[in-house]
Amino acid sequence: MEQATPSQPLLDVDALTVHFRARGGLVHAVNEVSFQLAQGETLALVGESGSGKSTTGLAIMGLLPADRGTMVRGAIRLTAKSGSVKDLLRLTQGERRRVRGNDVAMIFQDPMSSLNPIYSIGSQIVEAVRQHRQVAARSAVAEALRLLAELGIPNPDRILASYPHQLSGGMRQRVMIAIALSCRPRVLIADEPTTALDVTIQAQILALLKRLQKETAMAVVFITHNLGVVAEVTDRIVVMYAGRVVEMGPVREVFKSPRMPYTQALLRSLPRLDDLQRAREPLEAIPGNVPSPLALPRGCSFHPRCRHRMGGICDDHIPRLEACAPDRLVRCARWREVA
Amino acid sequence: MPISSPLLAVRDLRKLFAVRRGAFRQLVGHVHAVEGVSFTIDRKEVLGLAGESGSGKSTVGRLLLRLIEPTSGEINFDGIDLLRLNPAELRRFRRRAQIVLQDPYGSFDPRMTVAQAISEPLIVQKLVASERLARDRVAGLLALVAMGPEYMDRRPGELSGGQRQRVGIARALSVAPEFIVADEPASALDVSIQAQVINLLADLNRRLGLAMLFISHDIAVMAHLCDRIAVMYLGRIMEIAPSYQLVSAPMHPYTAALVSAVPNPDPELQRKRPLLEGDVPSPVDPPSGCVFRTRCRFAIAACASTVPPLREVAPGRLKACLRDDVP
Amino acid sequence: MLTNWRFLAGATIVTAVITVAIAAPLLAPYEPNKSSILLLQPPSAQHWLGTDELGRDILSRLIYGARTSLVIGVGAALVAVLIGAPIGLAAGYFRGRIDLMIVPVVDLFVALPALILALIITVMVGPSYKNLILVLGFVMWPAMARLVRGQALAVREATFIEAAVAAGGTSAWIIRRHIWPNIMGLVAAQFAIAVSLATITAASLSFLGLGIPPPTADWGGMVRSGFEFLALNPAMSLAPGAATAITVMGFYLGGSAVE
Repeated sequence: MEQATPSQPLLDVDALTVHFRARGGLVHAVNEVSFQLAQGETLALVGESGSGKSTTGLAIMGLLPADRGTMVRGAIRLTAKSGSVKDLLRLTQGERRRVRGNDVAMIFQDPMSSLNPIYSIGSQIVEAVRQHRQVAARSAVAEALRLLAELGIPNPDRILASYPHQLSGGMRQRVMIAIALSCRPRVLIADEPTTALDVTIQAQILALLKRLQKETAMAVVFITHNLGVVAEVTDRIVVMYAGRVVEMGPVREVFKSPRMPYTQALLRSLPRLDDLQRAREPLEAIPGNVPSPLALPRGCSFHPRCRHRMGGICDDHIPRLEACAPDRLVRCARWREVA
Repeated sequence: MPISSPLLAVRDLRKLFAVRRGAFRQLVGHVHAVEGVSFTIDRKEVLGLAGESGSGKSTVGRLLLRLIEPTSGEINFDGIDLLRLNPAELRRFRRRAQIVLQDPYGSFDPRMTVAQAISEPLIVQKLVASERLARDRVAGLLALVAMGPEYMDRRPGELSGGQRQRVGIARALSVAPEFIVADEPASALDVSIQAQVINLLADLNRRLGLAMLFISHDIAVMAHLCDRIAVMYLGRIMEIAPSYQLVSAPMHPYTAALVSAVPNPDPELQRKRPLLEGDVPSPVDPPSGCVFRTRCRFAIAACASTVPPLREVAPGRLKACLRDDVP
Repeated sequence: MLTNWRFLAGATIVTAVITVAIAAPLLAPYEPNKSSILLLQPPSAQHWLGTDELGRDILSRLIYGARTSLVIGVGAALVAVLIGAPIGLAAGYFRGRIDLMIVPVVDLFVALPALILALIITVMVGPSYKNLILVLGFVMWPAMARLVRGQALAVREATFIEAAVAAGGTSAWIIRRHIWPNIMGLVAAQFAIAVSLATITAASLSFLGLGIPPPTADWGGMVRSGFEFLALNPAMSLAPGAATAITVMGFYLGGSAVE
């Protein structure tokens, strides 16, 4: 195991590739995806269905189905609390368990399915705490109360005694965040944490995550398809399409001048409250459909839907990721010409 | 200002669902899904019905088409009292008003082909004798939603979510209705496909003069598509106003909180503090007086004892709030 | 479905049994009820399974016994389906009073063991083809109704039913076009399982002496009469017993594989 150097990022995803064997053939869920995450940074992993963003999150947590049909390549290097650098894809079962919850934690879209319905909230938080810390039950309960209070939850003792089905969606999500944060992980993977919530509750949860992150210097990988959320809470963005990274850079710059036609089209197709002069004009829709991961187009996966496609280039080979500016990458053969 | 009478007029619509528990199905309470809802929709108008979960907006959509029976209230469609119709008249009404459902996956019988699904309303309304004879019309309807005739014999399982949704719209249009209830038609679709469906609905409204009730939780989409928007909370209407005005200058505290909570895809924009704390109260036990008062920063004593009526505070702008000085 | 081994195995057995029953006169070497002086003979070249206590050829009786079993089994299953399926569908689709009346009745019948109930009733009315078919069908229809009701309830909640209502569909249309096609498979599968249940119950009844009266060749009765002579010619009981077991399993495999 290597020892961390000062310039080592907290999380280093290096050419991650995940393929599944499905009934229809080989699903290329994730292809050569690479990105880095620094301490205290929030990175958005953005994409639609079939983009591979959720699979990437699961790979980092070591939650991919471990059967013969799954093939994983590449490396995911995490600088653990101890200072050593571990490759998360090459851990033993025991090591993985120690890392999960302790160094890396994950929260999901649907808290109802991640919380066990037959155990009280209190027992589930306590279980999470005692998984990684040798504490007596009583101190674990005190810790659970402290966590809930830290999240700004009123009546934490009542919540501890409740069961998941008695709580609202927003409250369950807060409980899940409390459980995820119980061992102060260095990296939090949030997979669409607010997609199933009402917009006013979403605002509360996003503010909460932002505050917690500032207080704990935790790094967050925020997986979402909602570009509004990305603009509000994240620092850097990685745009994925059909399993590949197609654009990457600081959120401000990518939103101001997107270079990949997919990113440009996506931003233009969103209805915006801050731009109502444009209202009642048709939205700029992207024609066609997201390709099926079993039948990806030849060449650039986006070219059938791209208004800038050029025959002979875009349908011939997959473009490489190039640096179009300092700290910005784009995967498009024509990025210089398209504005 | 509309000269003719509205196409649809709803007054004091109420719907309570009974809650029963125990082996003997004891009545323990009611879900106040819809309480005293009133609004109008003009011909060729698109009215948006916005709200979060528990607001009752989907229930209102179904009540308008009598897919659910109201507990009380009036629904008037083109001068016809919908609640007085006998089954035959109700079936004829269904030719004039249709629904597009939210779930593109479950809203089709997996055993039907696209052509069978689209022609079902035509056959049921006896406008066509059989699916075979309707094929020309089906092809025309598919063209209306920008899909080719090659989809006619496919099954829903072979289509994408966006395509299924468009077939659902074609099906609703088959009987040439004057009015459509669109219940979250784009919510289950990918972002890049949503714009296609929204554009299609706007186009149909313009070209065919189709009036619409557009139900959604996405205010940004509604601002684009709708002429006016009605905001619902816990079964009641909080505010009705033309879209642009509602979004740029809301007059009800809930609307203001809702609009400010929508994340904008612009990183340069100042990030706002969330204006609303806490969770939505249970619709089985709604707060007395104004249902929003438990989360409203401007609540006064009177808000607990009086249900604020929906009143016009400016031309075309209605709000249900006792105070005129907020938000 | 064609690659499903259970279905293939079941379908093969069922086809074989039906063929044997239909082609009985061609397959059986002797008349099933023709007695002879060759009593209780062990298996030989002239009588492949030997003869019974009245000198009748066991193999021929076995072959003709397939008819008896099938008539009763299929007949009873048909009665169960023809009564149970419509009632279950009505209860599941229309709910309301029909449902409230049916559910306790169904639960009552399902709680009682089929064999005991059939036994008691048969004792009262006496065994004959008609009675056995009616009794067994009567004992089985509630379970059928309950399953159909459950499935109808589930389909009814589907969004496409709401879409059909919104289009102006009548109840008749919705049942015919949407509900029934989506429960047809279940009903067919349950029919096959009902045949297997009826067959084993009928065989048990006739083993207890309540089957089709002699001299009709009937597997259960053959097992019963062969019991006393197990030492002399075990085939007398084992053959019809095995035939019953195989037939029951065949229908059951085929039915359960469809689900």
